[in-house]
Amino acid sequence: MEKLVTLIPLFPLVGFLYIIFLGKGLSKNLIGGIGSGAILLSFITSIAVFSTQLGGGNPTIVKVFDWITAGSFDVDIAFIVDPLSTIYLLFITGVGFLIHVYSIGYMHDDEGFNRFIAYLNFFVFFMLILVLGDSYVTMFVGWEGVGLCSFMLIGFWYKDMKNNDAAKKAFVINRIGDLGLIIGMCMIFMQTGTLKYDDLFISGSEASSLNGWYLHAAAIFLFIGAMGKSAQIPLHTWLPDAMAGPTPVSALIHAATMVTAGIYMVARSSDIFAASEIASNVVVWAGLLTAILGATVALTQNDIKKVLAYSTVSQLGFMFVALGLGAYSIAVFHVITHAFFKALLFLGSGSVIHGMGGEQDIRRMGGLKKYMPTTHLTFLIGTIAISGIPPLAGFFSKDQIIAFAFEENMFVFVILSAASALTAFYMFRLYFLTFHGKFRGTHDQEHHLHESPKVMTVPLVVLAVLSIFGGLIGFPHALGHTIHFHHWLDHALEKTVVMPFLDMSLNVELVLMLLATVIAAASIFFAYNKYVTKGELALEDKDIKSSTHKTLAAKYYFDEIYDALIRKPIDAASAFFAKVIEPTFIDGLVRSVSAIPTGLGNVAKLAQNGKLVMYVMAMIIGLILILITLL
Amino acid sequence: MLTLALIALPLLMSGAVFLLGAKVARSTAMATTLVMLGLTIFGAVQLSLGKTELLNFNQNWIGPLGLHYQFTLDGISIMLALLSAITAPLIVYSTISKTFKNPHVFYGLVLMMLGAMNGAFFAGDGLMFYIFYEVALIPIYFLILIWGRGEDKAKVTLKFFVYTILGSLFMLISLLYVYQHTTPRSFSFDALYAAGNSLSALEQGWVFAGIFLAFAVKMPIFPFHTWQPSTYNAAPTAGAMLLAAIMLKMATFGLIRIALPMVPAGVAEYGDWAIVLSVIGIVYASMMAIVQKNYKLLIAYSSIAHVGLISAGILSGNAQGIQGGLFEMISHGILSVGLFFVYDIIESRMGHDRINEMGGIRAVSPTFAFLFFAIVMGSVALPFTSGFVGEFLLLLGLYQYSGAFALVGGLTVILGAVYMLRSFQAMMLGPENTATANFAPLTKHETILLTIVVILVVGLGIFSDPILQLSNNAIDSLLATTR
Repeated sequence: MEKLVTLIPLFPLVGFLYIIFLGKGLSKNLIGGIGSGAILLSFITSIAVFSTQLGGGNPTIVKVFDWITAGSFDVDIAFIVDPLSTIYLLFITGVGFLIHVYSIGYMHDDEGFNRFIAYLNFFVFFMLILVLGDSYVTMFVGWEGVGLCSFMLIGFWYKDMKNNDAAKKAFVINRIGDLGLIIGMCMIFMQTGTLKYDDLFISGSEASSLNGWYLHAAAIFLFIGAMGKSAQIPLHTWLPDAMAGPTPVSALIHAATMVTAGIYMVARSSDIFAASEIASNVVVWAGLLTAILGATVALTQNDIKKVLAYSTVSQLGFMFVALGLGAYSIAVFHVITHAFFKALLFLGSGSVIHGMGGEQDIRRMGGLKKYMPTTHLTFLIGTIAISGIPPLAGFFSKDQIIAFAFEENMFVFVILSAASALTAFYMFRLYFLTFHGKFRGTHDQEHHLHESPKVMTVPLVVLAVLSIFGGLIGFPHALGHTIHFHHWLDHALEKTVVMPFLDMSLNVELVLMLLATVIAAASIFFAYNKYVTKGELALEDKDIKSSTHKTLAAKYYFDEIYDALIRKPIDAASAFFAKVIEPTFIDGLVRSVSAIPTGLGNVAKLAQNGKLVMYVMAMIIGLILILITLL
Repeated sequence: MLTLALIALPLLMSGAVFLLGAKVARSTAMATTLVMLGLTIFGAVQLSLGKTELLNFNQNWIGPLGLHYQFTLDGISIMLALLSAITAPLIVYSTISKTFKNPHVFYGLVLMMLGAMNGAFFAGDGLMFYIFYEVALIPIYFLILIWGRGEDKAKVTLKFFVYTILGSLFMLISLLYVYQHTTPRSFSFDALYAAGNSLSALEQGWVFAGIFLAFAVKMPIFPFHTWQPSTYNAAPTAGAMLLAAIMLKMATFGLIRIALPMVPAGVAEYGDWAIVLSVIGIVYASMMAIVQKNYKLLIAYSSIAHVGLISAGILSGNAQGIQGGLFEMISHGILSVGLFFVYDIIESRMGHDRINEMGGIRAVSPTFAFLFFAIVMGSVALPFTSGFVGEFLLLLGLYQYSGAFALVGGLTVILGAVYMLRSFQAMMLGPENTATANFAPLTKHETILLTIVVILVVGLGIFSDPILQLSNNAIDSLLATTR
């Protein structure tokens, strides 16, 4: 059964190649069918492979072929089948399939339809390699491969240079993280002699030979890689810009799957991180900062996708806090529930944008619930789920992260609770401004407004159902010892990642849950009061007066600061090298060296002036000198 | 015999092409390079089967001086043989739609150069290496001088010629110095290795300095690189391909063949300096590439950055660094052919290669954009391209030498993405515009050539192990002798 795993990435690869090379002239529905069919096949195969891991984990390596051998360095194209990778498989292919189906409707009128479906397939291929690779290097294939697909899809509408700039920014910032990851890999290899998970963590325990500062440094460099891919401060600025891509891309790549690769990688390396308190602390603080800053920026954004993008940045921060606190399985839990409700929200926003004829500014929306009932209802479910209202999916995963923080560090707990309250607020602000009140767009837009076709709304409904019930896979102790699902995920992962240890009384856990619910409910009420009862609207840019609001609307000026501190100095230094150093100093040195023979020649030329007297004189002086030395 | 054939065949055919005249010049050259490709693959198979009798050749030349015609195809030179065998037919093919004046002279010189470079790659004797290393310079000098472009090409070519000759002189002095210590006198590498190892660390250091200086000019390594961009710029495209794809590899190969085994203590003692220059060059050349306005010059600087990493990795002196260096030589060769061909396609249609005066080509010629993009991805070392295997092993090797160097050298991962993507987007993407509206689609030959390059880049990136296996044992034994 495990051997089937090879097929899982193969289906989307074949789908990609078929559509790119043989797809010309086929109907859009057929192309869409091939693209989503490939992912469906992967999904079915993933279920089969996943079933081998149900009994608590039985890690198996399936080798395909040798890849790189150099001296003692050796990596293969090989796949690891264990609970962590197979759980990822399920939601990548499951959510991926739904987004493919949705794209058939969303991209139907785009001239690049074939290309789009093909790229999505290619992306899923690399994402599957990322989680299936049996070593850091094989994972890195998927890691950079999803970066490539992200680049191609952000810049999908390549005729607009703005999109290309966003794509390039995403690729380059990810590359900064990738260099960190490469250095991390070098460190691990140098100390342990291997980069295969099996030797490091499973059959062997080579990872334990990492020690001293080396251990901390290796873990931190790995984390730098994760910061790039999972958009953690300070490497987060590319993700909001990545919204330049078509909305299904934002849902699949920039919310549900690719950006959670960093969490996957840290969870995969949980032995290393658990051993390094320093690195774990770095992870906590970076995650915490990202969680709160992302949430505050999301308060002020008016582009429906930008709000969701900063929400994603913030939620990823939550996951890293969990990782840093040692709650690896809970981070993975939040990855999964987040994939459900964030994919739902993005696809819902896509449906809104589709209905609004491309409009993304929530100040031009309002009252959409009567025009788009399915989109409205599913979007509401997603909003409730992310806000942490029980019993929807987001509640369980987020609550457990917060409960952990309560145990570990009061400050972290307070900040996370605040971020959580902000989340409920900005999400309901978004929801109310979009779906309630009066329509604020143009007359044309209102005339055009319509619910999206079935091919788009059915995936929304499926994701809404998952957002309601998805939390059950990690059902907490406190609420039901008798429920079959309780802590199922923990049990599934216990052989793969280091397990959290939460020594908390039932009452405390229940009180925390209650508190979290009350905070969320209060935030929602506050948002309701502000945007529905009082009917306030988001300010137009020119009306923004408060400097806090300005700072938040400008996303804390990260882009401007990087521009001034990094991009401009590098460009200026490069220009200085090209204009001054290269021609004047380096080539100048070469020219002066080459002038030496000419110069010597000129000196020698003095001697050969053709005057006989000079020659005779020289000869006599020479003879005298010889005589003197001989005597 | 096989090695001798791989050297003699192109040299003889070069004479034949001169005599046969213009009409059949290109087809003869094409056929010759294809036969060489076949012979090289045959050699690689022999080598992997462990049958070496055809791969070594040894004849006395000047007995009393210990000079031999000695050529070997071993696990290290096979990588260079493959490089030259794969890229040579592509380079000849790249000229298929071009018309040259005196084509028989052009193709004759190309073949002569290939023969000379193979001679350097197969040499089992220090003086042989030196002679072929220098001989290869003569045909490329004339190739640029006669078929090059630009008003200052004579000046540029002279600078290139004098600079490299002068550099090589230091290698000759180094070799002669070590030769003085052989007993009995011999230039064969085995004798030179033994003699070199017996020198004091200080002497080895000086010998290494001389050798590195020669190679640093040829590769080129910062700050000895100023001849290179102007020379690439003046050279006809095929000439630039020959220089970047194969010729500079004589120097990086020489580091492995001569410097590491002959003066290991010298490398250990003074290798730091060489690596520092190489690493500075990676960053410096990448930054120069960022600000270039002409694509050909951008390729030239990107090449300096790449060879900087090759040099640093090799001088790290471990299996990953050397293996990565060898693999990257092949990868860089194929990618250089691809990039210069892309330049040629653009320049022949636009009449210039100014990056910021194009845009919108993808909308007109999507096939070209697709293939070009794949080559760009190879250049930025995306996994599953040949560039990644080389670059990753090089960084892994360099890291084991010094983490700080690897971190600085690793900036190529970021900067490479900056200049490669920036230029690709500026030239190919964006709205259709009048400058590129009439950009003609790729011809059949252009499509075929770029497709072959892309297949090689991706194929070698995925199925890299068979190639790496060719040299694994040779590198192990090389490292065993230096310890």
